[in-house]
Amino acid sequence: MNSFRFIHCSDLHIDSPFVGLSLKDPELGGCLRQSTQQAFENVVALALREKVDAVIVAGDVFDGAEKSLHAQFKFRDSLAKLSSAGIPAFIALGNHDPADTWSHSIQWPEGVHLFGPDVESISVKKNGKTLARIYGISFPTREVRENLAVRFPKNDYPEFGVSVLHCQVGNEPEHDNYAPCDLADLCGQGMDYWALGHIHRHKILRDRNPAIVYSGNTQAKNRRETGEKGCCLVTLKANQAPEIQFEATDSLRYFREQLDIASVNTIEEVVQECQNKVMDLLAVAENRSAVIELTLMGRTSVHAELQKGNNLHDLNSELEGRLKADSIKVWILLLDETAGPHDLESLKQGHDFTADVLSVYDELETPERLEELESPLRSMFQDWRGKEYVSSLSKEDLRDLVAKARDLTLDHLLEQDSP
Amino acid sequence: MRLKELQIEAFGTLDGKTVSGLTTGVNVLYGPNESGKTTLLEFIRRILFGFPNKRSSSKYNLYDPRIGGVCRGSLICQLRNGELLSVHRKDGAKGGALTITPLNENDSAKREKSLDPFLGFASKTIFENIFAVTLDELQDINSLNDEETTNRVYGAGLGLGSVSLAGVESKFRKLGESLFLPRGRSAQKAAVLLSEIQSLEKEIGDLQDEILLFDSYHDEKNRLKETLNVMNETCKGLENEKALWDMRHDLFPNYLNRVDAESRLASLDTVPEFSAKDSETSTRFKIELDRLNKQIREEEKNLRQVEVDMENLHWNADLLDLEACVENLFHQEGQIQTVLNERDALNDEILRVKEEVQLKASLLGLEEGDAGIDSINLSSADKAAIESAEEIQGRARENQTLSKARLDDYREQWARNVAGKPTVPVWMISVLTLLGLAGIGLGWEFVNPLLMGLAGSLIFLGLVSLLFFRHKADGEPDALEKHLKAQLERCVQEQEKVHADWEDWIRKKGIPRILTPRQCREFVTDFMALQSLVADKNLKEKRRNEMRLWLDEINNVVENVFRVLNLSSLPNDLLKTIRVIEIAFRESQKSFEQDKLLQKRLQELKSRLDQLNKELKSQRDQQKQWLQDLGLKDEVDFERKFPIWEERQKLKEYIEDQNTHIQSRVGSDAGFDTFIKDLKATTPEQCKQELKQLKESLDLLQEERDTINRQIGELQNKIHRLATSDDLASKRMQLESCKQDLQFVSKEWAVTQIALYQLQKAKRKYEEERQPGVIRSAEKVFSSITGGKYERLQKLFDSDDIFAFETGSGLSKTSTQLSRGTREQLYLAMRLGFIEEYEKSSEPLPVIMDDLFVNFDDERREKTLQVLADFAKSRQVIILSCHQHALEDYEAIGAKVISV
Repeated sequence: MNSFRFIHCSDLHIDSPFVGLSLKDPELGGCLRQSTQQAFENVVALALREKVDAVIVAGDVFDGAEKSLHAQFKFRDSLAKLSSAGIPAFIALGNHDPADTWSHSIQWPEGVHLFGPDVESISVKKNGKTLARIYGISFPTREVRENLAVRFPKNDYPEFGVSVLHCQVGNEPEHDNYAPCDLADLCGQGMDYWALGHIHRHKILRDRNPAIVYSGNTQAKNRRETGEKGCCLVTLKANQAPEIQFEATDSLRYFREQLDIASVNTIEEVVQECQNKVMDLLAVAENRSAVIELTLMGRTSVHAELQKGNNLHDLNSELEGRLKADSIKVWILLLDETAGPHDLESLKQGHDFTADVLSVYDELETPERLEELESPLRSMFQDWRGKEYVSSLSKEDLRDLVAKARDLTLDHLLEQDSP
Repeated sequence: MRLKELQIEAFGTLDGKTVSGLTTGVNVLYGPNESGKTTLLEFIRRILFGFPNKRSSSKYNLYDPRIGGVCRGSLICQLRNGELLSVHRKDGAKGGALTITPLNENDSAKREKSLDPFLGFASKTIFENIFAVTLDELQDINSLNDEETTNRVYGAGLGLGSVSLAGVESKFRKLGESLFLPRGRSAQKAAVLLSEIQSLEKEIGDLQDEILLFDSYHDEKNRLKETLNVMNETCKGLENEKALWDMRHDLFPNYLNRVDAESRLASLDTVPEFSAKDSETSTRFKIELDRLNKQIREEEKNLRQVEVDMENLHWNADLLDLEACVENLFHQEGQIQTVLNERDALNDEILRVKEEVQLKASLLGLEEGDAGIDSINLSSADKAAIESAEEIQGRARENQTLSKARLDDYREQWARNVAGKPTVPVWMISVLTLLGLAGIGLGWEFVNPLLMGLAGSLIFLGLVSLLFFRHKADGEPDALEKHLKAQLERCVQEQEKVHADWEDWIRKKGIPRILTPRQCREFVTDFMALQSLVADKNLKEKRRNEMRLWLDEINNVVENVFRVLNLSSLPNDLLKTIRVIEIAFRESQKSFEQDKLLQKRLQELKSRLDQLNKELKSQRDQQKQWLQDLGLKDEVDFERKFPIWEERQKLKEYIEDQNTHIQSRVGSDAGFDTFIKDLKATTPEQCKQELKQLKESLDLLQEERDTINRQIGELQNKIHRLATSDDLASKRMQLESCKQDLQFVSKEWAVTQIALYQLQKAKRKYEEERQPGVIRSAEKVFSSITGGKYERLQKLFDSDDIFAFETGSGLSKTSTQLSRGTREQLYLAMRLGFIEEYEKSSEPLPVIMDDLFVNFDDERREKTLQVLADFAKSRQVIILSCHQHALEDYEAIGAKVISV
């Protein structure tokens, strides 16, 4: 038992659509669509390059609810490459891809093991010698609210013990609570490493005895998932803490950034500021394709100009045009959250209609008064037949909308271009 | 706040200009057109609220200073509490740098950064819209449509000036409606997106339903494949059967051939069992015998020919016996020819030499014949003797001539030396010389150069004297002359003796006459040549004799040989004879040799014939033995029976071929017998019939199989499409995009709705809290201006229109229903009303207006001026006028006129 080197990844969500992005460019659509598969291809390439002993996938290979057969076939095709290289793959299914969502017609390449609804133990051998035992269990259906961790046996073998499970460790309100368990459930079972899936952000819950790790998803799949995404390259060595190395595998990186342009006076300066910001971000992206959502902020004299006609769109195009020369694909999504350079405090102290307008907006600052907006918004958010497609507005959303409405009103009531 | 003074440092055409004397109440800044009144208005506005951005140059006149640099200047202001401020602004970023300097000594420490507190927080908009009223703006009211007019008048009451609140609301409403309408138009974005989302969801649903079929497609495909396998088995069975019938059909002709051959075989005679080699053996015998017989015939013919040839051969045996002699002769033939030729030439040569000898002998004066020549005894050695004699004779003659010449010379010299010369005795000379020598010896001994020089001089002197006296002594006449004479005589005698010796030598040599040595030398040369000629002649003659003897010998031999030839006469010519002999000899020799060869050939032929006859016999014996072994009588018997055997063999082979052909299809084991048996039991027609039926069955089955294969293919395509199509992912992505767009639209719409909602609330608040005061103040002003024609103004709830009620009648008119002038007056009243209301709670601001009243009738203008005078009582009003005639009116109400 010298060492066991493997890749731990999870939440591939192959073919699942990128959420929260309005696609105006078909090329971006194609790039996003392929990104999840490409990310797994990157995992496979890493496995081949590093000549690992095994690849472990901790659930949510694809979104079963989307019934994408294509995703299953793509996954199988990628696994075939591992199989050809003699690298075994162990897959535990999760809430998004429970066993009942997989086609039974798919034939898995040799060396690929899908765990069943009961805990199984498979040994990984190399040159006739057993390196490790992989324990795992799959979700038979989506709704698994049972603590599956307690069903894992104790690893009494001298080889390394690695468990793979799709679950929720501890209480995280923003995640669906599937196969919930506590850190304590995972300790004391003679395992060296728990390869977990479900949480999309890479986290090391415990670094040894046993190591308990969420690899995070391999590719961002919505606007909130910014930053690098990837998998863990793990090396287990006897009597040592595991070496856990995070490797970025995302083929396309999403950035959500704000840019304060309060001090900027011309559109040209705005373009330059944006370009500088984008160049900084691209350096972080390390030659990946990137989608950069850049929100322009601040009370600025160029607000009116940004608001005019297609100016923002043109600015967006200009920026993309400037970056086009580079070989890397970059899409810029410019959002304008700027406001006119009105001095609200001064305006409030006037004795005119504008001051009254601002005072009625000030009244909305209490949560109770915010509720009165329900009435003017009811026709869409409560009564409209398409209401299910518009997310209900939180207090925060409302406050944001109120601020926008106030600025919009001021833009129209007050002339903007003169001081 | 009121203005006290304008200090224009640089602003447009104005620079270094100060306008002072401004007070509370009405101030009239008078000046003709283009005197800079509007510039002053802008100056005040910009000092208070800032200079516009340079980028706005297309929208605003920037009033770039005529003198260059940036716009700048100050306003000296006085606040309500009496405080004095200097407000200085210099054009720059963000409206320009503002400096507020309190001018009261007590307040010098109190510096403000913003003018807002002094301006009562009135915005630039408010100031521009309300406090600064231009004539253009007032007149503009009349060019607007009803709604705009209403908005403008209403807006004046709100402090919005030219910004139409209704317009803003309308814009928001339209924007909102373009995004979403709960009912009605479907072109609004939300409806379009909803429709797109629902359509995409349906498409996705369809795709997902299809995908659910994937496994059933797989199952169906597998089921069809199984059916296909069963059909393939059936098909295989039928094809096998058809193949059997095909075979029967194909092999039927072979079977019939086989039957025919077997019947023919049965009809043939039985013959001994030959082998295929027998035919070859028979032929080989035949060929061999034929060959031998032919050879024997040929050899016999050759034998006869040889015998004939031998009979025809003849040769001279005697001649051949002389072969050695004859061959020698032939060898010498060339030599003979040479000798004969040489002999003739030699004869001629001898004759010629003889004649030359005779001629040369006669020239030398010799006797004819060799005796004359032989009598002279001369050899080449004598040439030396002759030369010696010639030399002796010459020397004797020379001596004689010399002696004679000496004598003569002496006698002549003697005659010339008559006068005698002093004579010195010889002894004296000798003494001198000896003394000299002794002196030298002593000088040398004692090494004395002087003595040696003296001695040398003595010697020299002695020698000179000796020469001189010696010469004198030769001239002695007696002795020397005698001596010379005697010497001459000795020379003459010597010469005579030499001549006598020469003549003796001539005679002794046999030379026929006396010759001088020189002549004798020539004689000897010619004689030696002659002698050589004679020797040559003799040699040739000797050679001629030798040849004659050799030829005679040859002739004897030739004659002897020729006799053997038995020819009639011997030719004269030796060589010809030899050639005749040679021809005869060679012919005999050839015939003889030929005969020897023929003898040998004859022997060979006889031996060959014997051999051939033996072989012929052996072959015949072998043939006979072979036929006996085969049980045949003779060759004829073989010739008759062998073809029958061959025919039988052919038939057997043919039958075998047919069997092989059949077996190649059906196999050679039991199957073959069964097959033959089956063929016996059937007919070609039956085969055809069976085949036809089988083909029909197979075609039918093939059609069914094709159908199933097609179905499998279709399923495979569907499976492949489902497995490889990313339509679903693509649609999902589109759906998410549409949803996101809808989110965006919903929020955008919500913003418009909130804005509208809040505007309504603000309006209500304003109408409740501020507008009543504005309306009341305006009502007062309007009533005053109209001379009490209108007593009341009203703003109805839910309407932006201002209603003016006539005094007495109670009739109401909206702003649009008023006459032009009245409408302007109402607008002015609303502005002044707003100012009064605004200033209730803040610092009053200067009101600046153009000569607004030019369009008012006299009565209304008067009343308006009065209103203005009242209005200006507690505040500052600055009127910009270019009308000289109006100044009086202004002065009448207490206005202060300042010319600019």
